Amino acid sequence: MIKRIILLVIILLSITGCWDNKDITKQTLVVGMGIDKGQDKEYKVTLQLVKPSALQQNGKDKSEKPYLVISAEGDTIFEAIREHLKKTGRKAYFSHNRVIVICEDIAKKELSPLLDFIDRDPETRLSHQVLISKDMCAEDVLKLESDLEPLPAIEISQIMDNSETTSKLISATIFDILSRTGNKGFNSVIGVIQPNNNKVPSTIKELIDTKIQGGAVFKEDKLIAWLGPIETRALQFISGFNGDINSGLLIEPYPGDPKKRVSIELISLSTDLETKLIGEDLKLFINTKSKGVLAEQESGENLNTEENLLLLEQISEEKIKSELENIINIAQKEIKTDFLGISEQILRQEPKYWKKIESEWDEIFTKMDVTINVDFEINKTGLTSSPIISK
Amino acid sequence: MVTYFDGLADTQNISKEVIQPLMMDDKKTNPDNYIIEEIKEKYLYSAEIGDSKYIENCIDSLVSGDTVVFVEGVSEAILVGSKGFEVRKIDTPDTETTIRGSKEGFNESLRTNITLIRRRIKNPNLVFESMKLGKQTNTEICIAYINGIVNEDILKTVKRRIKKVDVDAILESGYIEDFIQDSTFSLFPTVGNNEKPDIVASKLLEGRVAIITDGTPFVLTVPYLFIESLQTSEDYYSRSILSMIIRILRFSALLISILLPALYVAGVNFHKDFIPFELLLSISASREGIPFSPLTESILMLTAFEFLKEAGVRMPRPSGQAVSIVGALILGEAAVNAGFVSNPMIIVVALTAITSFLALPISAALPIMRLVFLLSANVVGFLGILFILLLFLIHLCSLRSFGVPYLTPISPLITKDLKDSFIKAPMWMMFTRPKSIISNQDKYYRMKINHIKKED
Repeated sequence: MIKRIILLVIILLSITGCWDNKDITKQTLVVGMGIDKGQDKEYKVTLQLVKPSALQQNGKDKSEKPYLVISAEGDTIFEAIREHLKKTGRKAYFSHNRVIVICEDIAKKELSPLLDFIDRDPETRLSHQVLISKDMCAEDVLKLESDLEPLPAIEISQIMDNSETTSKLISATIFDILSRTGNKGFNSVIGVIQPNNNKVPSTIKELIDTKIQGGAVFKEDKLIAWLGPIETRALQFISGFNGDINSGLLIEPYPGDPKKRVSIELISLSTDLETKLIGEDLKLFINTKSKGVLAEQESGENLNTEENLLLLEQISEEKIKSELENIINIAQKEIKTDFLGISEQILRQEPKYWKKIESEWDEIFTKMDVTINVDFEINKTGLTSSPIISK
Repeated sequence: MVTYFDGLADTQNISKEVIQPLMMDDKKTNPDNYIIEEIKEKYLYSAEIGDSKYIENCIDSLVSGDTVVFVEGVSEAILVGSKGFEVRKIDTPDTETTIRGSKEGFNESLRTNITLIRRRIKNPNLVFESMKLGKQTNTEICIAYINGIVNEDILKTVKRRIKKVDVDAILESGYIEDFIQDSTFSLFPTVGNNEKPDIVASKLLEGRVAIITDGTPFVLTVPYLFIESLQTSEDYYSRSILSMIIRILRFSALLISILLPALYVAGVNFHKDFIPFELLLSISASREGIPFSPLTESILMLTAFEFLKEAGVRMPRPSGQAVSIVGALILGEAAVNAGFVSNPMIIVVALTAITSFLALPISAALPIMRLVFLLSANVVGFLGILFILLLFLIHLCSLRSFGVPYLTPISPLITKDLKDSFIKAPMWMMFTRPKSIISNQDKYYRMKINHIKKED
């Protein structure tokens, strides 16, 4: 027995050459990845790499940036990544990548080569967050400087994580995109990063000069339209896009005095999508139930009375309803694509019926009759019940 | 003629009990055959008294400290018990120190040790069987067990194996251990040793057999199972809920001590994706500029720790301080500052070192296990660790200690015995003695089951 164990250990030790045995000092961590159109070749891949020596706590030079942004071109994404090896001594390691930024040019052309690479590669993960860069190239996004986090890609990723409190950004991961792209009738929406309104894209140096909000609508793997922040919020009301949103902010003019405003914070939301076949026509019923708390008021009147709260609820309901009507209008009339996730709902509820209508879904969707029911409830007024200065 | 060994015998006793009565009265000088009986019955006051016609017996008694009285013209000698030599006093043992519980430890005298056990189990069924081993040393050893509780099969095996021991000298119980243990070349002990009478008493009450050797405070207990290396006497003396947690803590410490360096090397070399990002960042920052690979680094540091440990044990007490200061300063501070060793590695080695003291009975096996795991982890990562873990499990499962599978009660699974394994049930829930050791069903219960009915 002992001899056998010793023999087995020796055999084990002689089986060397496992492919991923690499000392951490021979590798460098990728935290951000950008895909652009190349000048000479098809793709330009930009990587934000961690510089561990600059992260050392007893490092002398504090002004040294702890990351490095480099780009390389190639006819395929894989080739471009391999080209990086000519520029850095260390092999890039993708497992801890946070953000993938895709330039709008690439997104408008096709997304599938990138998705294929990420799905196939053993190092990349499905949890990488994805952003589409509008009016800037992905390389510039990764070169932006951050203030709070030492690594800008981490800062971007945290902004995306926080998006659930405003609901004005679609925070999509590779998994979300992969699960929709490629299925007929399923279309994904991805978050957007773009320069602030009055900034010239070429002058932007810092992350705070950009805004990360809104959504880019894809039909199959091609970018076809942009959504604004409010539209994005409405979209998430309907589809709870990637996991239910449960927070957000509504700002209402105070009933009676349009100059004074009231902030209401959304604290819970549940939406029921119901499709019913009435005769030949498919009808969609959207029932959303949500709760909010009074977060702020500008006027001096005590809103904590039954009739005032009812009034506020009514105003909020109307506002939500108009936002929902707007987004459905955009989907049915302007873009003529179902990016709301209604196809998913039909597939789940009536899989057989979905098979039948799958091929002509776009047409059916644009003609579908939609009924919206909104129920909004304000059940808390924060820690105080009355305003500071009561009239 | 009164003969004894000065130094081995208690001269005061001899003067009072043997010489004084013999000199006091006028003796009948008619040398008839009954003079021996007469002296024994009428004159000598000693409690231990006997006679022998053989010179070998007389010499045996002489060298163990007894007094031999020869009478002229009679072919018989009187043996008087007068053992009285200097013995170390009963002291707190260095191993197995406890906060709560008896502070007594065995000493080098067989008699004292027997007394210490007997004082805890006042029961006529407690049997001490004495015999002599070692052709040159004639060391007295004693097999202790409780009649009625002990498993007869195990007792027979112990006796058989001890009888087979044919050796020049027995200087310590380790000599016997080597002869009677099941597997000499295993890393794991199959014979337990203890320095405290309360622990030995509790093992006897569980049906085990103890072997006491003259000249050493370490008493052997068999059978010895893996789970015993996680048990301490204090588990039974302190509050149940606390000892439950401590058992689990001790087991995880054992795992950490064996696996942590290997897990670190495998993680850093192969499985960077399983290390959380922020942790990986700080590991990679501190690994920056280190000239050694994680494997070399860990082998260096672990060897240094073994050096320190060995030096600390053998050093004369006063210089022990110097060793620990030099060790801590040089290995910890200087190595990191010089950039030879990374900070995470120091943490890993420190944790490994601390935890290795939590399961003391098998701590001697840990460095070798650690090294095997390290090497395999360096070659194939987690897969290698898993593979070696399986090998060790197979080996542990195949071990026996005096016929009892080493991993009982886990494998073979004996659910009732789990009450005293990774967790420790409260005393009133331990109705049964360990089933793995007790064979006789009648002796299975410690107490009546209805004992636990609680009052409101």
